[in-house]
Amino acid sequence: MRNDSYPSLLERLRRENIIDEDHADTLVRALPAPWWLTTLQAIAAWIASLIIMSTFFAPLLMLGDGPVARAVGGALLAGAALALFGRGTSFTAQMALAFSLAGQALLVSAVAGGFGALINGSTSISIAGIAVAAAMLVPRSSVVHRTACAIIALTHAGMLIGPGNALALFAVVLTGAAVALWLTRSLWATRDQADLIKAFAHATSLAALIAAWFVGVEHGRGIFARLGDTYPSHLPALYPTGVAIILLAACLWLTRTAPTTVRVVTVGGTLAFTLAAAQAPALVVCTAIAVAAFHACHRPWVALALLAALLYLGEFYYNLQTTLLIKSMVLGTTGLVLLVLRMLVLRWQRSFS
Amino acid sequence: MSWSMYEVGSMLKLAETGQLAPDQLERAGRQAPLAPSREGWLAAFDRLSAFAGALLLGAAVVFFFAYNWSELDRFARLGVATTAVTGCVGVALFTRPFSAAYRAALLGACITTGALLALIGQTYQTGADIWELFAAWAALMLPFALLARSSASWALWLVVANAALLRALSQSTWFGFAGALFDPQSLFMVAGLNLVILLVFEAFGTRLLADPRRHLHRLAAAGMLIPLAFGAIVGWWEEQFLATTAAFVLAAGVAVWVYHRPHRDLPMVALALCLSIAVLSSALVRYLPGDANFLATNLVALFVIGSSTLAALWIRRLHQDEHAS
Repeated sequence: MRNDSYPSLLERLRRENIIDEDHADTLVRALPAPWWLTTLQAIAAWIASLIIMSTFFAPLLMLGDGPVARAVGGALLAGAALALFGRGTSFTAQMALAFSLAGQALLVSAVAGGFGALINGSTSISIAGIAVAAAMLVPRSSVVHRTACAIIALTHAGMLIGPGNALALFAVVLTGAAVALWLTRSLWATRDQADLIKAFAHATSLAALIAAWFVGVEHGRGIFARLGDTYPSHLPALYPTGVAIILLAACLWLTRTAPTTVRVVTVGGTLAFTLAAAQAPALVVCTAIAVAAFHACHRPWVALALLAALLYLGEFYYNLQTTLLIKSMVLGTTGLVLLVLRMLVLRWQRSFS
Repeated sequence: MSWSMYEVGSMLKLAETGQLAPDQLERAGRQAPLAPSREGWLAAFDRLSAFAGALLLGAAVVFFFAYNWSELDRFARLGVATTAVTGCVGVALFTRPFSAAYRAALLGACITTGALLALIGQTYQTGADIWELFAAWAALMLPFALLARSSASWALWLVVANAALLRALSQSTWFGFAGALFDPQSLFMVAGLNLVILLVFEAFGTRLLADPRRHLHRLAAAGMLIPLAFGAIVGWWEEQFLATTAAFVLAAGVAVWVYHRPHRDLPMVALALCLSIAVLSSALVRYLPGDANFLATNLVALFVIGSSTLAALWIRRLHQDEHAS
């Protein structure tokens, strides 16, 4: 049985002469902190940051709550964040993240003319939000910070586009970008800008899953209605078609060196699945991201995409576009297609072995 | 020869942070592809298609009954819910004990038992308080959890048992389950229940769990320490909570000592230290002179930064020692 742990990986790398003894020792000393410790540190860092920010900026904003005061406060926080990122510890990285997000909110609110306008949204706020987030994305910082900045920029871009076919196209592009980035992870992992590319992979994956919520299920209609926008009465056909093409393209790319029979079976199976799930395109988006993340050996995104699929299933129940009977048939057909495919693949595998 | 999914993921992560050079990654790629093998893909497809196919078919059946729900009489409705419980138990009977399917089926039985009880309460208007529903649910799912010996089933049981106690202790109609937090005796009872569960799992964990993981122990420890920490924080302001402050100091101290040396479990140590920092920070907020002035507030922030950093450094060192040995 394989022992999947960091020390056993280092031992294997050393045995295979990929790293030497000294390098192995260095990597042991750089053992990443466990997730639970990082989480606890993050909570402590955020509490400390909020206390510090409240003592400095509450009086500043009370003295002069105007665009200039907010812009100065925002710039100071953004500068402090970039300085803290240079320290390189996980605690200061979390503090810097808190400072950066608060700084960005202050800078955008300076353009918006108040914090209330941030919630209502407008073109100028979206443009300012994209500009500030993009500016904070460029300097070297943590992957979490860069991911947060990319998500903010993508959210503002989505709000700028507004509901309709253009948003559906944007959601398709996000899904395509996420899938392409994960499929090519081994190609960009050693590049100088790997940190930045990885942040984009995280951000586009999250944005694609959230966009599927807005575009691919009924829930989005209610949110847009609350924001005062109108939403198309029917799910734009562009979206299910676009994400189906992405899943098919991903499967074709993954089987590019496989024998023709394997390619035909894979594409045929994927086509049957996408047709069955055409009424529930969010399931196709989740599958595409899970497949790409599996190829990239990124387990958290495989798990997150599957979890998102479960959540969509719950949301699908409340979709008012079709009756529960139709939805029952859609889910039943999709489930049946998967089980039949599984049976065929197992039989085909047995005939080869 | 092939790399496992964990190994490829870790190597790519090391490469992304510059800890593995491009030529080293290339060498690893020459030994075996830096992607899941054909067997890996087939195994993942096998598991995922079975799980997703069954889930989608199950959801289709649920949607179908929901569509016809208003047309069903109460006997038929109970029949549907009972069939769901029986179906889960039936699947468990015909699968290999402690396999993933067996444990999933018994978890399903635990969940559907709650649904059946809720349906009985709704159909027959039994007049039972909500805590009685949770208590009955915890009692009825206990045999399934004992048979499943899985962390998921036990975690559900622990949450439901805590929900029953919290709701029974809560006198507030406004705060629901959180109403129990406003009384020190209630906090002691919640902590006591979780302490008993923790001790039972420490003593009989190998018999109660098929896979000797410590999720349940940690969940129970959190259920014991968090209510006491909450009481300890309030205790700096309200005298009647002072006993919980003393109890927290004792519980956190014992937890750090026990899980540092005799029963090494670093997440437990981290939890106890983190809660201790929260309690001590609250004490500073309460007793520092100057009532929330600039200096006092920033001193609290500095204490949070300093103590968290020290605690993290110590735990990280212990973690590295654990992996190096």
